[in-house]
Amino acid sequence: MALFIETEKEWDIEDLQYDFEDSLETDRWLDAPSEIKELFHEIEWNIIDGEHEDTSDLIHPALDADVSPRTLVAGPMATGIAEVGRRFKMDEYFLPEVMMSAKCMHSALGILKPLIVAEKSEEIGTVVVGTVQGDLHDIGKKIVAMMLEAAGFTVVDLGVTVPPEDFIAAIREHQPQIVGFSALLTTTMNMQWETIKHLQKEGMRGDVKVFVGGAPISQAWCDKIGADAYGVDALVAVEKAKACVQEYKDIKGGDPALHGAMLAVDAQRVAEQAAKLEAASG
Amino acid sequence: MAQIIKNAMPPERKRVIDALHLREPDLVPIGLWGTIEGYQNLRKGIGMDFKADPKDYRTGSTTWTTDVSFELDIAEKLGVDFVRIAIGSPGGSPGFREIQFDEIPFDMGIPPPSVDINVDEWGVIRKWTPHEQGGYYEMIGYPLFHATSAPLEEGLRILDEFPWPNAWDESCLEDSPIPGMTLREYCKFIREETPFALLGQGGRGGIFEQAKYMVGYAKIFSDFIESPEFLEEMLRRLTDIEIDFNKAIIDECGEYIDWMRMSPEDLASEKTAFLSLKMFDRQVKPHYVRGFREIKEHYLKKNPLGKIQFHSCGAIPEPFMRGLIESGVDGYDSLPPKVARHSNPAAKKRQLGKEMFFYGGIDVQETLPWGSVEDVRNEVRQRIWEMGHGGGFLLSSSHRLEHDVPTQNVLAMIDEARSYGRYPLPTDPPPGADTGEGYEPWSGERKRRRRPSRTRSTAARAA
Repeated sequence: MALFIETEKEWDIEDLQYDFEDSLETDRWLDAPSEIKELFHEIEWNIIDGEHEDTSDLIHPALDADVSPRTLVAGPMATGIAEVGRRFKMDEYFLPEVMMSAKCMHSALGILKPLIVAEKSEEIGTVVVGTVQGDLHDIGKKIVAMMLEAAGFTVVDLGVTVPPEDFIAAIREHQPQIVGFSALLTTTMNMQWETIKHLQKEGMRGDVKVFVGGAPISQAWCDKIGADAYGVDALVAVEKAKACVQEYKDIKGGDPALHGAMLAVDAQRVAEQAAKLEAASG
Repeated sequence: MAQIIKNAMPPERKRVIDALHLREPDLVPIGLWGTIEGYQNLRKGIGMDFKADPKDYRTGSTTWTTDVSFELDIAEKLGVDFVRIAIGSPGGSPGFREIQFDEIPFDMGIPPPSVDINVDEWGVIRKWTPHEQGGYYEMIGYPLFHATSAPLEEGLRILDEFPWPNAWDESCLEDSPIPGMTLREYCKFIREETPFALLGQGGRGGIFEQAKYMVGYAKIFSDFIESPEFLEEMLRRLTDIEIDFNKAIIDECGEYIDWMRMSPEDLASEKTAFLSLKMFDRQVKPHYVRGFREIKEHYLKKNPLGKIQFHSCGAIPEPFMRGLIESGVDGYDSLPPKVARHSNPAAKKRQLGKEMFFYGGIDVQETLPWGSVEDVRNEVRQRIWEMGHGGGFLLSSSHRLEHDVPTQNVLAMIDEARSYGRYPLPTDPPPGADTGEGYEPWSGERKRRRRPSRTRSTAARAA
């Protein structure tokens, strides 16, 4: 019997109908000098327009102006590609335009990644990541891998369409604390589950903590397939990965206690955000 | 099998011809298509013998799909109205043609893969990927990937020297689902000795679809923006080949084929089209107009009643469908029902029902494999009510029947179509039918924000 796949993560169309120009008016880079703000807007628009050569041309001027690589990734690059996603969702952009914007992200990340990795502080653990078998997407996974490296992890990236056997071989070889499965399609997310089943069959489930992520992935899916943690975005994934190798390093992969602890990380973040909002409004 | 009086049209075939010509027949015509595993299960399920080795089956379309032409005994037992036939592969055996990587007559630009592979006549490399029962071929190597990545002149030279499949190879027409019969003999047999109408497929890859396979899914879409000249030349050549393959089968058996199906051309996801309308109109449609019109003209000389059918999965918005009609297309399959509502079956019928016929429509993503018999019956009633009025609807699964479709669901589909699909159809909608209430047309191509002038591109700033 084939698996029925539930995906609950569906954007509300209302959320997407915001006006991008309005968001430019509200200054998102409040504390940046005006020439940097202009540069940011240009990087953002080059990504939206899919001009990858222009995008990479602007990365060095931004770095020369003392903008950190991480700020570039989390700032104009993230907002630019988010606008591309919005346009795709709204039938304003189609696959050719999205592919061109993806190229921009790749070319900019090509310059920024070594710099972010070089920022790496102390060694805190090893993570094996890969996009599951049948799935060719890797921008999101690359961003997570890069952020993990910057946070002090050694990251072994197995690339795209990685069969379960390759994950298992890599876990044997590199002895990571964490393994991350990425999937960007509802048709391939099932392979996350299959890969976990392979781990169990090999008796290795307790050896590693399993992270899952990707556009169709949700906490509910993570719970259902028995993964330890779900990273809603790269920053959350890094936060949880750190917790896994520090506070919870003695709990084994697959242990319900670990799962609960990971949910608690989310709950704490939500509470902190709520407190911040309240402080700002009050 | 009842002996058919020559020249008198049997009810099965008449039903199909009526539907194709947008007239109301006596019953909604029915046909089936499936993967080899789905077909084996179905035969097993209704107590018929079957060949255990998939390689003993003649495939229904291209070498790499595990798609099968249903044999006449099962068609008769299930009481369907038409069967399908497709041209064979050039220079190869029926069905699968397995060659080794080092036999590929040109440079693929990649190292030899380490897994079980299949290479088709286009040089596309596929890896055998098993599932619970059987498996399928997953693409892993694209023969023109290196050409589209090369400078234009080099790319065009590779296109020029590429060993394209030869549509006029006699082996394409050598075999049929009945061992020992040529394709022409088989088609003649269907017409003269059986009551079934015949759907024929000549193409062996397609135009836009084959282009995706030649350079890979990731590359093809950026080519629309980055390498339009290369893409244009590749699509031109693929159109020539599509025309040739279709002419080859038309020349051989066109008079026995009741309608033709062009090679599948997937143009859309379940949400919307892959390309913007502008790109489609400028970069794809002209090839369709040239190719389909030439094929149709050739076909009508052999069979003046002939019609041509276009396949795409997904939700193709109405303006794209208009472009297909302009290129001579008379009908559309496979009508997946669970796509965006702007392009679901009921919407298609409302938008285009007076201009084209529709084929397919019963969901293979959920209802047929996982639904109950009652779910299947409900869906059949809904689809017939939505699509059947005025004729122009041939009922089938919305894609191949796969190994996970229970036999009782297929039988329920046929049974319900026979009892509910009797003309004149009921005027009141069955529960759950899409009556068009609250429908909103496709909203794409809205005017989008232009880049603010203050953020000029690097090139513009340099100038």
